[in-house]
Order: sequence, then structure tokens, then C-alpha cells
Amino acid sequence: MLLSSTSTLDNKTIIKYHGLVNGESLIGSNIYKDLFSGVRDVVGGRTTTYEEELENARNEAIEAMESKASEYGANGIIGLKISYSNLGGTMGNTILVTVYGTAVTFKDKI
Amino acid sequence: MLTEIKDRLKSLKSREGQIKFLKGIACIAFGTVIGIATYVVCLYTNFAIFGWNFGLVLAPLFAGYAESFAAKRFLHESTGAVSAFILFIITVIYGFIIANPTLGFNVITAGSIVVILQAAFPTAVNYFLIAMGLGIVSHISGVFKKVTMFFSGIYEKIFNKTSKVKARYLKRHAHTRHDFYDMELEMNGLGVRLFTLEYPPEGLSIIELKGIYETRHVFSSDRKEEIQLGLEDVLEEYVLMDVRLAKDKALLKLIKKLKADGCNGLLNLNIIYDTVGPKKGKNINQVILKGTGVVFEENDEL
Repeated sequence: MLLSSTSTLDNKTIIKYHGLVNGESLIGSNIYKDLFSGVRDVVGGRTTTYEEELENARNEAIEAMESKASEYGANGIIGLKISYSNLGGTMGNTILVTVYGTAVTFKDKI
Repeated sequence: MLTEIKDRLKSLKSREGQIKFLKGIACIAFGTVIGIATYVVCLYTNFAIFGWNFGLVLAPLFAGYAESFAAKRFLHESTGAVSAFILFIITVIYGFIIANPTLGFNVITAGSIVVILQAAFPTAVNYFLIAMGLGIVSHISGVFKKVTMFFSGIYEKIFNKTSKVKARYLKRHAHTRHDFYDMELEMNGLGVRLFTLEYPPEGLSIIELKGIYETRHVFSSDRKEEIQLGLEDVLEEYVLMDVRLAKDKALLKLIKKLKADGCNGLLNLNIIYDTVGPKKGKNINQVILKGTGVVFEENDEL
């Protein structure tokens, strides 16, 4: 599945626009990670725990979106947008990762 | 307890019992004198740190020790370190009321009270501190909950049974507000073509730009029950469902608005999630959908 944040695809002909597809996933960050990240920042390390969690959540959301696009028979998603939002939460931060774009079917230009 | 008091009162009728009682009183008095002496020495030498006199702790400790020592020597049994409690009262009345009548309640005085109580009632206070410490650690880290959830998970896997807590929860929430939510609702088939693109797609021409359209849906996820029950997996699922439901509601509002204005398409669709603000411990969120409403005309078959 080809993913692009642009509105067009060079050297490709879009033969069908299927419409909006999206995917969401959540990260419920907790006190362990907050403390751990803080300690690693002090000692000069990178907060890789957060980075890995965000990466996993992003991939999960993209997979959900791709699955929806595949149902339409699309082989690409253009105009792709990814956003990260903090929803707050009772136990700490809940980070929502959303991805959405326009599902298309394209073929290579001859 | 009542039987013990009755026995003690009964023993006072005999000569031997009276002597034993007086010896006990003498031991308590001895401990009290030692405690007061310790407190006086500490006050006189200003044995203090940051204005907090060590006599507040040493006096009850020395009093209790002296009393126990005397009781063991002359009575061959404990009198219960009553003098430590007496010294606790004396030091509190003198230190916190007579000597410092304007003393306010702050971290130092609160800590002092705890330390003095610890000296007066060591066993009870130590049990309390241990329980409190474990409670704080458990609350912050959720370690006990995690351990019980771990064993509960193993139980569920081995015996293929749902835990009673989870079963009760699922039964209670069998008919929630999400029941009517159609997860399969096809948003792209409602008569308005939705695009995240900034330009019109190939094969479509804009014959009229209708302007910016924006809709929102405010929602909140109050899921304290799931956290308290240790059902975090259910919690994530429900919050995500709340988010999807809110987005779909906002999208339906947007489609309805566009159709009412004669639009058959939307360009540059943006979906924004935001926290509006907390309300009594739960967060209020909103999802905003905006884009440019257009009337498309198909150039050729797509």
C-alpha cells in the first residue's frame, strides 16, 4: 500500500478515488514511563520508551487505515495526515494517534 | 479485657496484690521522673535541630525504658510503658501549647506529632506506617493490582473462565450507549465525496465553491470504574470507541450540513482532536472536522 501526504502521484494515474479512510489508536502513558523518561533525561539518555510507544501506536493506526482501504480495493492512500492529541485521562495522559487520507486505486503511467 | 480488669480489682483486696499494685505505680512514677528529667535536660541544653527538640522523642523513650527496666527488676513483669504515654502528653502540652502557644500546623509540626506518637505507641504506629507506606507504593505503582491481575489472567487461561469481576462488569454494561453504534456505517456512501486533498481529484471539476464547513462533537470518557476494577484492556477499547463514535457523529453532522447546502464534495478535510478542559476529574474532549464544501462535476468516468 502506497502512502503519500501529497494530493497527486507523479508518474501514476489514479483510476479511482474511494474516499475517506482513517485509523485510530491509543497510548495510555502511566507513571512508570513518566518517571523512567524523567530519569533518563537527567542522565542524558533519550526517552526511547515514549518514542517506541508512539511509533507502535502510529503503526497500529496506519494498519487499521490500510485495512479499510484494502476493503475498498485501493492500493494507495494520498493526502495522508497524521496527528497526535492528548486526551487527558483519569490515570494520566492518554495520547490518541489518528491517521486519515483518501484511498485511491492507481496504476503506473506507461 | 473486662475479666482482666475484674481479676486486677480482685487482687487489690489481698495484701500481696496491694503491694504489687504500689510497686507498679512506683515503676510508672520512676519512668515518668526519668522522662521528665530527660526532657528538662534536652530543653536546658537546647538539644534541637531546626527548632525541633529531640526531647520530644527521647523523653517518652527513656521513660518507657526506665519503667520497663524497673518493672522487670521488681515485679518480674511489664507494666505496659505507661510512663511513655504520660510523657507523650506532658511533652505535647508543654512543647506545643505552653511553650509555643502560637505554633501553627505545618510540615515540621505534623512530622513532630508523628515522631512523638511513634515514641509513645511504637508498635501501633509502626504497623500504621508500614500499612500506609505499602498503601502509597501500591496506589502509585499499582503493583499489587498488577500481581492479582496477572494471577487472574493465568486462572482465566488455564480454566478458560472469565474472572467474576470482569463477568459482573460485562453483564452490567451489556447494553451501553454503544449498542446503537453502527461500526459498519459507510461514510463514503452518504452522497458527499470526502477528500483530504487540497486540489480537486482527477476527473472532477469544481463548479462551485461553497466555503468552509466545520462541525464538532464534544465528548468525555469517564472510566474510573474500569481502572478501579483493573480492567485496563476494556478501558482502552471503550475510550477508542468513544473517540470513533464522536468522530462519526461530527462527520454525520458535516455531511448533513453539506447536503443541505447542495454540496456533493468536501476538499481538504481535517480532523482535529482537542482537550477542552477537565471537569470533576474527567476530561472533556472535542473532535472538530473542517474542510471546503464544493459542488463537483464529473469530467469523465472515474
